[in-house]
Amino acid sequence: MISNFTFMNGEYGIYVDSADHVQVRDNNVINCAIGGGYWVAGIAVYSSRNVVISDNLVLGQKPYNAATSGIFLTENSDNCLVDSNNVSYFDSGIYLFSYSDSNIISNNIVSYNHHNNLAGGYAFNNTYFGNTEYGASLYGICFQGYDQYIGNNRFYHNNLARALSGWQILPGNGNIWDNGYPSGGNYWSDYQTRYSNATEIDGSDIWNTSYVIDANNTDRYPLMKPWTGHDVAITSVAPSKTVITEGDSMV
Amino acid sequence: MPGYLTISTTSPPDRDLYSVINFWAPRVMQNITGNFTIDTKLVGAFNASIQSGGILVWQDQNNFLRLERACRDGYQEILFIGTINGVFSVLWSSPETSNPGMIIKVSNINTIYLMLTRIGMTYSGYYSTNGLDWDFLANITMETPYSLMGGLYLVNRGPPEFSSTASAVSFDYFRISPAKVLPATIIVPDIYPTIQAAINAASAGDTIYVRNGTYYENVVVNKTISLIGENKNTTVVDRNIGIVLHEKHPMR
Repeated sequence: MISNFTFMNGEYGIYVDSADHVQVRDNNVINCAIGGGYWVAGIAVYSSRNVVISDNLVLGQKPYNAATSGIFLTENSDNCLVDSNNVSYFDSGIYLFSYSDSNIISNNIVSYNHHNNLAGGYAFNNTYFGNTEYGASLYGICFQGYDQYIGNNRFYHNNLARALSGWQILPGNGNIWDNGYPSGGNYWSDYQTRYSNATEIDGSDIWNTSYVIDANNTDRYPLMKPWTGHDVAITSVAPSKTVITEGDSMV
Repeated sequence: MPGYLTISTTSPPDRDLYSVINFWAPRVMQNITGNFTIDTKLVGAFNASIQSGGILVWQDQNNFLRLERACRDGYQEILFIGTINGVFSVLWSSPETSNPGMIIKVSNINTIYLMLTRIGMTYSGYYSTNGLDWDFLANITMETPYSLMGGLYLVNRGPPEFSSTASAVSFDYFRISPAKVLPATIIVPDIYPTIQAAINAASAGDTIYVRNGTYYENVVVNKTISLIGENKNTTVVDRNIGIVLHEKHPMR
């Protein structure tokens, strides 16, 4: 574990290279990703699994450095948890790349990054929930689409705000934009301007009209209010069996 | 002093454990085999250079380790020094002479505790002020046989360079027990002045605790340790290329 530090003025703040089960918790990463360049990041995870990055404040430079990321997972970095971080002032906020799959990106506040706040490229089966993104210059979310790949990344209970360029999202190919009903989808800041006639589904806090991102991407259950709950990230489940025999009762 | 083992030298002393000088230091030794932990309680300070006393692990004149309290150049300190294959080296030295930023100071402490553990070819030195909380000092690899000697000693180098006063050291106990691995907490900068030096000295499972301050260094972690700052706003690693964790060594 690395915890309780301020890292500053570095090419990286923290670089996890081929190390599993690392925990990076409760640090400040300030003014790192100096010089810019691909792979340079506040917190970079390279070819590592089961890494936990939580409760970090990750701030880049103003103006941003091109091709930097706040939190960057790449080269088969799988089953990681990126939770409750605050990420601003990079080219990309949180970027999953190159077969970094089955990660959970939750409860982060990602704002004022240049190209995008949340990004993915060749990244699959990741789950994004409880995140709030706003103030991106170009794209709130940028998932690169590749015809032959189905992203299967799921987004729900996120608060997604219009980028400074106007509402811009590149949804990628085959991603999922809600968690079904009644759990719901995402809160979209421009929803009411686009669907002024929508109404609520039966006191559910969910609009009755889908939010259409493009022809292949739809949030079927857009939220009426910004998500304020705190979803719990479940990273492992130990099944147990309760046996109720005759004469017992469940209380 | 009842209940204590006291080793003394008369004046002029000329008693050393150093190949350049001599090997005439008085000592109490016994055979030890296999892995072991030696610990002792040392009472009393030295008041002249170069005087020291502590735990000695002895194979021969070219291969031995000293973990000791010392007075050197007028300073009180803890030393872990060795001669390995005939080469003398300081494995760890406390603070007041070479590393003024380090915090362990023994000037005002009359009683200290020393512990030396052998596991295989690795020897680990520890130090304590209460016999309960141990600070890890250093690991050293020395290729020693299964059986060697261990014990207590007193060094008093004497003229012409140094004091001609007599000297004595008292040991409350000397204990040899099965080797025990202490989950060490290595404090920066008390024990090591830099984070990287602490990591280099650490073993898997150790915790490195970094006190408030700004550390201008690049840090590479390549073992399973915990790295904890005192306060995330005031424990600062500046101008780093980055904390780099690598080579399939998981962190805790």
